[in-house]
Amino acid sequence: MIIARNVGKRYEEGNEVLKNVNFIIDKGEFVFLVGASGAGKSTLIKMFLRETVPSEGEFIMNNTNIATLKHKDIPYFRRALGVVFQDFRLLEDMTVYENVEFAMTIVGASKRLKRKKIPIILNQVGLQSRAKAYPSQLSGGEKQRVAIARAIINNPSILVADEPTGNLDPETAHEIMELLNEINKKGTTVIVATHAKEIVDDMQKRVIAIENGTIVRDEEKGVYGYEN
Amino acid sequence: MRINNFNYYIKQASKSFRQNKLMSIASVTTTFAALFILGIFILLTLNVNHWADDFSRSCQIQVFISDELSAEEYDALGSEILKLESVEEIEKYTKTQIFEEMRIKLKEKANILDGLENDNPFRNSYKITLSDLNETKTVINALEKLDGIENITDFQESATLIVKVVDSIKAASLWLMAMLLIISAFIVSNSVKISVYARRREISIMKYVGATDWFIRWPFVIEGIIIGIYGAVICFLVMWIAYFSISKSISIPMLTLLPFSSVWLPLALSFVIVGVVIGSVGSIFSIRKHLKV
Ligand SMILES: Nc1ncnc2c1ncn2[C@@H]1O[C@H](COP(=O)(O)OP(=O)(O)OP(=O)(O)O)[C@@H](O)[C@H]1O
Ligand SMILES: [Mg+2]
Repeated sequence: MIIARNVGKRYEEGNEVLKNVNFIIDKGEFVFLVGASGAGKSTLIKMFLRETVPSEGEFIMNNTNIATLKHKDIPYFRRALGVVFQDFRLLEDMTVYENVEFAMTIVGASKRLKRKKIPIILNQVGLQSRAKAYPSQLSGGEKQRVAIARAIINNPSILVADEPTGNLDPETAHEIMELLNEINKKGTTVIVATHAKEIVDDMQKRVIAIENGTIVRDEEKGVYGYEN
Repeated sequence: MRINNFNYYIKQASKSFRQNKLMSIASVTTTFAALFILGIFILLTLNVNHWADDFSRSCQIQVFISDELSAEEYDALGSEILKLESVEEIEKYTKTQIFEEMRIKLKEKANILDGLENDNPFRNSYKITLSDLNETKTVINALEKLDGIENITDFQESATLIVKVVDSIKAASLWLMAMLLIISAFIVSNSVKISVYARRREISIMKYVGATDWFIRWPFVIEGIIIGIYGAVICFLVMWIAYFSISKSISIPMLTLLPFSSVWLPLALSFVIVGVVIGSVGSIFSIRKHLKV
């Protein structure tokens, strides 16, 4: 469960990026974060990752208050999260397989577990035949699938994505969102910040809309609600 | 450190060492220079200590005993001298011994001593070795207070001079070495900083996936250590060759260098230890900033 209670964020320059943000996200939910450019979506996403902390209020994930988390505990906190970005963030000198393996190496997984799990996950994201390819040999959609495979390889309870389809054509975007939906159906909480109007309207998920750092709408089976 | 990950750390470290060739060579070179001075310091210290040892043996104080003392009194005086502070050992050197040695030294002219066997002109004596040449004066003062001593010979002035020269050489090379060590740690740190910068994307991905600080740090620390060890090995080989050619060309009889076999171990050990320390300290400083997020 994720709880934001009166969350505010103010940068040193003084501009208030988030104001009085309140929500509760239950385990297993699928949530879209929508809003105009500069509304504060990425800032909120950064809190899920403990890249930033609130300057006011409380942000609590899986019973952990991110503001009081000790530096040395942050890595272990992040292992319960998967993260996907618009720009994929793959390592170019590693193959698809190695990019996914890397995430397991970091948490100290054994060779046997790697050999067993990586093919299953690559299969799940539809990349079983591309395991030996390098990122430069992949399409945008395929790259994002690798990033998703890497994000879920360590069984996170929460998957966070910041504009995962921002660099993809509409059809590929649909496929990627569908993949996230499938992952959600297996029990992972999924939070997606996006500008993809058609997809949001189509999928009928919970939508949290942000304007100027404040939540202006929070609906089950919501719609995008803005013109792009 | 997880054994699982050890291969990964080594692979990453040697990869960035190679990719970052120019800086790696520069850091190996400065580490080499710092260690070279360290090596000179160590070799100098070892040899100077060895010379000082030799010298203090030849700088023994000799006290001549009055003929009025009986054999027992001569012995008793010996044990009294041995009790004095800074006296390491004493050696009995009787007038008969002196007489015999004199005869050998004089060779064919030894006949001038003929007939003196029963009227030995020399005095019984003790040769005194000091544990610290700086204390020569104090010991002489103490000896002068003892009864039965007729005469004292010493090398006080040359002893203090040698001690002073050696001490100032040691101090100067110590400062030079400390400075060079700091400079080379700084340069290694800059080299590793470039590696860190080249891999900042990877580092940020690692952080998102939940890598601990040490998991991120190890490859860079090992990279620094590789630099340090390269510097150490090259420096050791160069010093070895240099030492050999210098010890061959030196021909002052008093100043023979210790054989390489008795100096290589302290040299190699300190090179490896200092090389590793420079490398790891340098690299730990260079990644600090990137671990904050
Ligand atoms: N590190 C920072 N320091 C100061 N201001 C910042 C910082 N990061 C973001 N901001 C400001 O916070 C506001 C919200 O930015 P944010 O990236 O959260 O928007 P967004 O909703 O993700 O926009 P987009 O849809 O374009 O990605 C912007 O006005 C931005 O300039
Ligand atoms: Mg954004």
